[in-house]
Amino acid sequence: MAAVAVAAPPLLETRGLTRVFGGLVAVSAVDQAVRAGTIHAIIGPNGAGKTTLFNLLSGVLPPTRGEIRFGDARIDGRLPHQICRLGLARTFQNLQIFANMTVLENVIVGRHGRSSAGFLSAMLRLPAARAEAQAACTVALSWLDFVGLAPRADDPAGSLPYGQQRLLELARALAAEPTLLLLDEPAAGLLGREKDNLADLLARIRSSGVTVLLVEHDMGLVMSVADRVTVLNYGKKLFEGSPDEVQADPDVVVAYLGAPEGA
Amino acid sequence: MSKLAHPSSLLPYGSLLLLVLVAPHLPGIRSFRHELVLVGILAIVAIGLGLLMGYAGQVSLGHAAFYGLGAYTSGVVSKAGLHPLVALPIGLLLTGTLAYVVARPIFRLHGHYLAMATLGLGVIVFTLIRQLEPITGGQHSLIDIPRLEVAGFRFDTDLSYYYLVWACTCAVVLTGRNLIDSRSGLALRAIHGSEVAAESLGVDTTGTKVKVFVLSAVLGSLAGSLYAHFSTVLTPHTFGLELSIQLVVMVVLGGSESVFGPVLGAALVTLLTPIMREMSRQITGGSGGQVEIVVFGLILMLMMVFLPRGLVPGLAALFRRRAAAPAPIGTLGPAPVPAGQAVETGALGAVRADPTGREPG
Repeated sequence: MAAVAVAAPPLLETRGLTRVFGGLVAVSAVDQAVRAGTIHAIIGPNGAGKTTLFNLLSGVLPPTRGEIRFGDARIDGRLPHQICRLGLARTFQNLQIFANMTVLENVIVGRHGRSSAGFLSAMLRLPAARAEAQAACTVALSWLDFVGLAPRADDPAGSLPYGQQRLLELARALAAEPTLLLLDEPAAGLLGREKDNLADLLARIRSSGVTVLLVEHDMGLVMSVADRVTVLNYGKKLFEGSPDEVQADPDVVVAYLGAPEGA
Repeated sequence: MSKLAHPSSLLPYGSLLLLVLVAPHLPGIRSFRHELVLVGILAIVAIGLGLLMGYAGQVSLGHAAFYGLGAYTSGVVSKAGLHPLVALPIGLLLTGTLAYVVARPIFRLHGHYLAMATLGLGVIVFTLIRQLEPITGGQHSLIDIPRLEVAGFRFDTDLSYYYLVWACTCAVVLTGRNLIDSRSGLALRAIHGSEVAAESLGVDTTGTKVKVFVLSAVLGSLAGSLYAHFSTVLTPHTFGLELSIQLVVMVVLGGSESVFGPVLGAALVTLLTPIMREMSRQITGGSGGQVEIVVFGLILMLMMVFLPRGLVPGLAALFRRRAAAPAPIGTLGPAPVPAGQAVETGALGAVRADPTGREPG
């Protein structure tokens, strides 16, 4: 398994990726590869640049310097919707649910990049557009089922409890059928059982062939599901290795975990 | 998804159709056929503006310009000898292109720059219409525009033109509703819910907003063409800022969440304006002035405070409260929908906020 993973080309690769806000270097010359089929976690203290890194990867922010390769394509400088259509979907640390829609409609929006009906075919209700809408609905329902939210399909999305809104974002991102899924603190605010459920979902997502890159503060979750861990500190890459190696590295312990028993 | 099949969702459409068919024959309304034609024409512009305001969250203060462009293109081109049905698409193309050129750079910016830009556009188009006398007739009006004639049938009575215009209006209502209900409509609501999330899910936010704006401008042009062959005389002051503001009032009054809102708004504003003028003339005993501008300003303020979603969603909520009883047949109001919490949002720059996502009508 490990040998195969090393031999495969990285699905995502950054070189010298840098983002400067005024005088602050939020992400500093980060070289990072994410191998296909893995769950790769990014950890680091608050302000280490994890969310900025995600915003660069997903196109929400353009990089100041450096390049990003996703599959065969250079994606730095591309717009978020273009990157999504290449197969990269994400969730948000501060939830970005469409509160003005139902749960199901939220997930149907996830199908946007995978469908094509335009204004004209929609206005005329052409058979192709209707078939596409029906198909989007079916696929969306299956992803709701995957995260266990199918019974809430017709409820207003804003009425879901916090933990379920996180799952809804996950289902919505999965509906875009990404090859790389970026999860920004998916366990934040989740309770014990919800975290176990999330770990289980992440493992199932990986086994379905989707690569997962996640930012997470919950060390228990990271250490139990991640294949590989990168530690960021002050925008720089401090360390990369397996969960065991990360826990054993003295620099990481000092910078992030604080004390040896902190994990 | 296939809501057309649902009987309760058909009710508002059936009611509108019935009303449209019988209205010009009802006693008391017969003599207002001319006004009803204008209502239908302006409803088309208002539906387009409603899509822009309710779904792209942007206000246009220059829609009279698109209306005017359509009208003058149809007038000038058909006077030059081309058939009105050839002149009409020329107007659509011209207006659509202009709208695209204006909107493309503006929608890249986040914020309400469109209102400013369209305000400027409206002034420019108005001035051009007035100054390009050799083409538009300027202050002397463009006169003797040929009437519409299709396959030997001349639409030269108010009644025949009424049915022509309202057939167009009904088609716009239906296609507008289809759009709201589609992948693109969902994308527009998503943009309103969270722009960054919509983008990250593959929605081209800039492109989608530009498309709505172009569509709404093209609908303005279509209505303008219909007006040209109805009125047969075009004067510049018809297409000034005053009309642009009236159009915004129509949308705010009726509500932009549903395609019926702008239709109701167009009817109220168009029919009330002459009444208000007459009343003010009698009260002031003579000149009268432009009292309707004051009243429209007042309406805008009152709507924002008390019924920010407009009359149609307000009526829908009323029906919903009486959900047990079926809605009276023949009303313009929407069908009762399963109780959903109504979230108050401004009609200006706000999307249908009904969290159930059901379009009220």
